[in-house]
Amino acid sequence: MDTQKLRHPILLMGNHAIARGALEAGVKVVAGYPGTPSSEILTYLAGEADRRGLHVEWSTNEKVAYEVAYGAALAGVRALMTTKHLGVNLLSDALLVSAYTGVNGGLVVVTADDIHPFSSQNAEDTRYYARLAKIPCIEPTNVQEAKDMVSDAFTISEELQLPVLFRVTDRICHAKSDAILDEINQLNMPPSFVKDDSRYVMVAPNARRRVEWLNGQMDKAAALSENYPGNRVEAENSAKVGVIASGVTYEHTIEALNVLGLRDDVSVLKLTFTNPLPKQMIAGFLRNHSEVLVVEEIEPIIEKEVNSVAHQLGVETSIHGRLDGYIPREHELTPDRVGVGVTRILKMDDPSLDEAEYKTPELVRRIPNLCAGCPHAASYYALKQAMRRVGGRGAVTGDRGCYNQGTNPPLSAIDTCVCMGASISMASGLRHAGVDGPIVAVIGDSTFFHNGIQPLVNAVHNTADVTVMILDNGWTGMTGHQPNPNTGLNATGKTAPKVSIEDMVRACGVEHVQVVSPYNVKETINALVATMNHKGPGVVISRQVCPVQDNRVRRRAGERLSFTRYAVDRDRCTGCLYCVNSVGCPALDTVDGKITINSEQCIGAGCAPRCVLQKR
Amino acid sequence: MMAFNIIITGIGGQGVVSAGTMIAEAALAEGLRIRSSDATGLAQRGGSVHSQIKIGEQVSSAILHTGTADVVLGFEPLEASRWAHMLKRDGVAIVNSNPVYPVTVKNGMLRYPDIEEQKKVFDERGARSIWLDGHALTEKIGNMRVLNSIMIGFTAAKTKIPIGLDTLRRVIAEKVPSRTIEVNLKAFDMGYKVGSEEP
Repeated sequence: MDTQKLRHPILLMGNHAIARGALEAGVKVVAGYPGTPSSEILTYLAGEADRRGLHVEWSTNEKVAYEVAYGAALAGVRALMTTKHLGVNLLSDALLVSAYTGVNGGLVVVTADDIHPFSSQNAEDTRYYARLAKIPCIEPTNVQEAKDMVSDAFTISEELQLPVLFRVTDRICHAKSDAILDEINQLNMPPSFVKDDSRYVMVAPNARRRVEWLNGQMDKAAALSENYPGNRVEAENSAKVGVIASGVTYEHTIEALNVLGLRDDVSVLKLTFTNPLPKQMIAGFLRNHSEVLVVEEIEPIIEKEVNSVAHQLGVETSIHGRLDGYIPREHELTPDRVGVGVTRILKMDDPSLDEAEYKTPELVRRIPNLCAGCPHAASYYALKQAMRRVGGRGAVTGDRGCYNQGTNPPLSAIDTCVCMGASISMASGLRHAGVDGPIVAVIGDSTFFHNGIQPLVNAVHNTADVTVMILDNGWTGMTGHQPNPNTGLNATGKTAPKVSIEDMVRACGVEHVQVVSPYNVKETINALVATMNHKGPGVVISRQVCPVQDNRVRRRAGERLSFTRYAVDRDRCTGCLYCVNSVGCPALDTVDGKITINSEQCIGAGCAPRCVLQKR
Repeated sequence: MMAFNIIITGIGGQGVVSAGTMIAEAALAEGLRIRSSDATGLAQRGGSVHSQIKIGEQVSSAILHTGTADVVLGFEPLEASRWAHMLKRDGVAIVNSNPVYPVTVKNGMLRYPDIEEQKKVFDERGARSIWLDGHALTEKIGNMRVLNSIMIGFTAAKTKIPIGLDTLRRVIAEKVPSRTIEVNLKAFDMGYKVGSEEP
């Protein structure tokens, strides 16, 4: 691409901007595990891998991915790791020690925090990990910076020999904006691993020395932060009120000030290098303002540090934010929410919010449901039937994946959902506590490989009498159908060895293993009943490829798809709604109190109760 | 020029996000700047989806401030009504009047608000709402998957969207699968024509 063309803006999604930034920075090794809102970064790079000579992989989990990228960075090449916020919890074990050894090639960990949260179990602020691990943190404010600052992050990483946490949120990842691209760099960084056991072998005496080194590196990082061009006072004016904003909240602040007509009444300190903070710069800003609002997502981390700077300096500036309720304590910020804080400081009415009419109308919520023909819906139907047949209350522990939506009505099929792999270990705990009846852990294929194997070994080792139902749809579905060790493909679309779930389960020591298709409801119920009645841990693998993805793959291969068409005998349908309430398939519609099949949605799985179903 | 703000809203599979991308690409082709943000929710199919788009010479933040949307473009009534509070007082909602019922409505757990009730949500804000039968238009074209092109055409006729018709047509032709270019342009033209004819 010639330079002229590069200076022409293109429409870019935030996650693609980050991926592009990594290419421009000359990244060599990329590893990650899918998780909303991060997944598109790695998918984009996987598409570039072959022609640019990169290694790009979906790893089995985030800790594995981090360690792969870290290993590459020790060998002196640039490496990128991608994850959502929950993956940082898992990889933190490696992260905290890797900060002691440091890296040679740049290592950037992109964490996409679902802070609201829109589709996660919790809303956490991974910036705490930058403080815990003592590594730099970069927070871009928009899509263009998301691209540009990846290069900065690699430079900072190499200068300090530390991994860098590159922290973005949903409103960067899934935002689209005009953006200008730069050239893609081919770096001359040949891999070499030089033995240095005093640095790479973290036994205690080495660790005692390296923590001193690490603290010294963070002092250097503080100086870099003071001079980083992305940390600066924007629109300097004589206003006595200021806002300190980091990440996307900076853009929300500018929007709020524009809408409220307050651009000349408030000055803004923009922060993008946020660990360590530029304390001198913050001190100067505090001295120039009598009241300051700190906006950030999602915990008051900067706010507390700004308070501490003020305390050290003895300045009288009033500092507001999430801690004193000027900014709501929970959830993502918006221009509205920043505007409320600003207008409160200025003791003015916020004209856009005082009117009752501006309230969000109270309307029926559209609960997420499983897709038409989803094999998980059939599995849950069979599971509920089997539980009823065996009797006793029991429990169904759930896990992380599309099948979470089995919690919603009408299925209401799972009782817990906490974190990847927890279904199996929590089921064991319920049983050891003495809970009666069938206890069933429900876990997907990708989640099983992610963090489900150790809990299964544990259940065998400690003789937990539980049933594990592995919902095997062949793909990592929820996050956009990425391949996993069970798919037979790798991230770049090439054939990969398929790791057999049943072999793995047997190797864990489980003797009672059955494989069924959930579309065969009777067979699935029988297998579940037999496993529930079996003493000790047993596994039912409910195997049916995700039809959404399978149909996509077949269509792309040029296949013309035809589905078995079903219709409802409306004379015989009594309108009891048993089918809607027991399977909840979106292809089942009610018209005048009776069932019809929505032919636009039905894929002919035939898994609904067949009382009045007819093949057409 | 003030930014022109649009919220496109509907359910998964209706083409909400691709309509947003086409409008953003067209704005880019007109030399404008863009901030937009997609929320696709959890469900691959059938969940609430929306796309917020700001276009103008200067734009900031991928989220709209309340009461600043020039247009709420609703592909489904309930999903459109949800966003009424974002409209400017002189804003306009363009709504496809064909409901898609949540499963909790199908099984009688919850009641889907009548169309008249939903119209009132906009009326009470003093905003204009224009309702069209998108399903009937897709049937006329003979392709159920062109709703988004119809809606964009209708919007071009009914609003002051700062993008030329030719640019919109060109971007649609670039963005849709090659074998559906013709039918999508036909849908865009029909949407535009219906929008120009009605008062």
